Amino acid sequence: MTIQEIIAEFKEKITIVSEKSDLIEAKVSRDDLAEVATALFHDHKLPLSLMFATDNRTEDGSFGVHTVFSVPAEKKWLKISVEVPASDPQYPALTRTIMAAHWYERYLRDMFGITPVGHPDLRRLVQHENMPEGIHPLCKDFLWNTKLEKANVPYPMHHVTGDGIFEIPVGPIHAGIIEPGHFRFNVAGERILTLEGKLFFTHKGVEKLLEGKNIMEALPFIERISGDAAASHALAYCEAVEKIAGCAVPRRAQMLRAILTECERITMHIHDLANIGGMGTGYSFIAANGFRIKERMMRLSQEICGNRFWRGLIVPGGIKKDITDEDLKKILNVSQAAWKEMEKITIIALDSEGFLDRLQYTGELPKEAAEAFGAVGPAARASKVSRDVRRDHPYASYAEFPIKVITKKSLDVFARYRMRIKEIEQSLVLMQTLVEKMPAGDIMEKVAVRDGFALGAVESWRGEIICALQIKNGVIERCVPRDPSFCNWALFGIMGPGNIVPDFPLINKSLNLSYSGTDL
Amino acid sequence: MKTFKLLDTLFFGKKVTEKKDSFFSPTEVERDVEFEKAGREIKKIIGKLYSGRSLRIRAVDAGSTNAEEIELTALTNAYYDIDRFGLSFVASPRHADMLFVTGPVTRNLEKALLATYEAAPHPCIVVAVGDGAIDGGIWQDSYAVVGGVDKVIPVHIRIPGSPPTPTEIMRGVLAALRKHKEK
Repeated sequence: MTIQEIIAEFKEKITIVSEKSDLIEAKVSRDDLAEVATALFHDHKLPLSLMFATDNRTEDGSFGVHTVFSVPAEKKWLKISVEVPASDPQYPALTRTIMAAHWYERYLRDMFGITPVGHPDLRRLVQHENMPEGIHPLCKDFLWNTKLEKANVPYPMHHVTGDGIFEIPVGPIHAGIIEPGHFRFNVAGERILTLEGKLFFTHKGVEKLLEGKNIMEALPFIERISGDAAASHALAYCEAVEKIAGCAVPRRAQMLRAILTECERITMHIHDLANIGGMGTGYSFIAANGFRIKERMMRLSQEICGNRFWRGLIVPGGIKKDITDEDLKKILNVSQAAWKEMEKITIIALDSEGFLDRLQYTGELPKEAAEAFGAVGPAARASKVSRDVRRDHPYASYAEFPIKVITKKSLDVFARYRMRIKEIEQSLVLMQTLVEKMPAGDIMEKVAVRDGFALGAVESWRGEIICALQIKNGVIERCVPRDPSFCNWALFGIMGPGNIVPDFPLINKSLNLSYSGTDL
Repeated sequence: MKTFKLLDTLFFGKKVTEKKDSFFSPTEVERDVEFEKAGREIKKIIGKLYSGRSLRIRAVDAGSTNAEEIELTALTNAYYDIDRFGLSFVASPRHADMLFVTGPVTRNLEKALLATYEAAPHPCIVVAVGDGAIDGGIWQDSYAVVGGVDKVIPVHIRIPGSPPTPTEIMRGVLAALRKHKEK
């Protein structure tokens, strides 16, 4: 069924506001949202990619609640908006029928004070105990530099009671050198019964800080949303800016962008292979070698970009500094050599019975759960969900050089491990093609800032990054950089229970989610 | 067959104790000269200050972007391997002589950072790693950010950078130890 036919099905309910090459913006009434969204999600199998709110009270006295569905068959996004009057800020919750909306709705309640009526779990999400009640930071009348009082509002967590049930609190300060997050395990013996996370410890107010910035001022914030996915976040943001400006990025720049993000993918996948294999299972030989090989990729980045995180080159309009043919060859050679070495290590790892014993049947994520929770990236693909922005909504040069989406069937940590191996191999082939076919030419196109709304989406190594950007009077009115971690964190509630506590770090590493990217 | 393979590796394989330059290209070794120099000096100072034992570091993320964490983890990889200079990361602040604090301190982590500092035995050297940790960086004054680490706990040395490279971190540690030695 094409998207037009689907919309025609709800003729009386949906009004189309605008139609661009990759984005259809539509409106429904507040009471119809749940029905329309449920039909799109369940009957037409369109994944819910993003949900966010805007504060339009100064213009029309209402909040806007926007849901974005991905329409992979037509490479389009469908944005459905609802006006929620400021005098009565509530709407029927989507979470009653769409599990993927549950965090988004808690988020917009914390940040805007809009209540999703009927949401089964309306506890605070972003705001911890210290946040006074009635503060909604993303409302336009809240100043970005407000100094808030310290409150002590309860932040309850779930408990299981019964004979022999123990509760293990972990974090926010962890034993390893990782980011802060709090996890609560309810266990019977070694088995996890329930697992719940309390995140948003590193909430820095990035979305608020972005408001009122011009497109160049915002870039450092975007690159520092999640340090390990700097290039992908920058690319998603630049895609959005360029779509609004109607700027055609030169072909060479498009291909260089693809190379940079693929480099980032290889760097971090090597890191993950080492981290899952070494730190997750205690097979330290894998970690020692893997981190050494990853360091080679980071040094390559230092030579190409001048920093160790592939950041700084992707800017609105193109690429900041041209990469010479010599450097391109070096990128290719170093990455291929790094993978050749890492491949040997993974072969040794996969040869070990003890290693496989830890990985197989650990942290299984059923396909139904992955779809229901809106899982993205390797987590989804390792559970048979074929979802990849590079194919579904091609950006940079992926329309010209398509990739085949790799999926795995075994659902467990082992599937995610092999998934990464295959993805690196694929990236290397793609990079070789890109380097061989690299045209000469410009790398920058002037960006004339216009007002408007656009979505930029990028498949980072971690999954689908979406950047929803609205520009008004030449500055950012609202920017929602949604990190894939935001969609995937809730999966632990499914993947954890049934496993033993020492397997949790392994499951955690198999997704390697960003805390900073979620917390913003 | 496997036995032969093992014997082959044992007698004819590459030895892990081979010299560093047979693994890395000379340019790579050269680039780390500064790192090695800082490392050796650190080793000397630690030997004097802590009567032969190593310096234990506890890394605390107080709201960073995770780039700092990647660099801190990199310090333990084979290129840098700070353990050989008598530095090691520990799992608990109770074992730590030094705290590495990264990121602008967020409101949500203020309490946790303070608790970590109080759990560490004193005197404890506090190192603010990265621009955010120094003064809040680009997130300074945001409603959700308290500010630099010194707003919460006393800071002894600051390492600028977003994030600082492993060599810069090493130089920072050296500066911290020199300062500590003078006292």
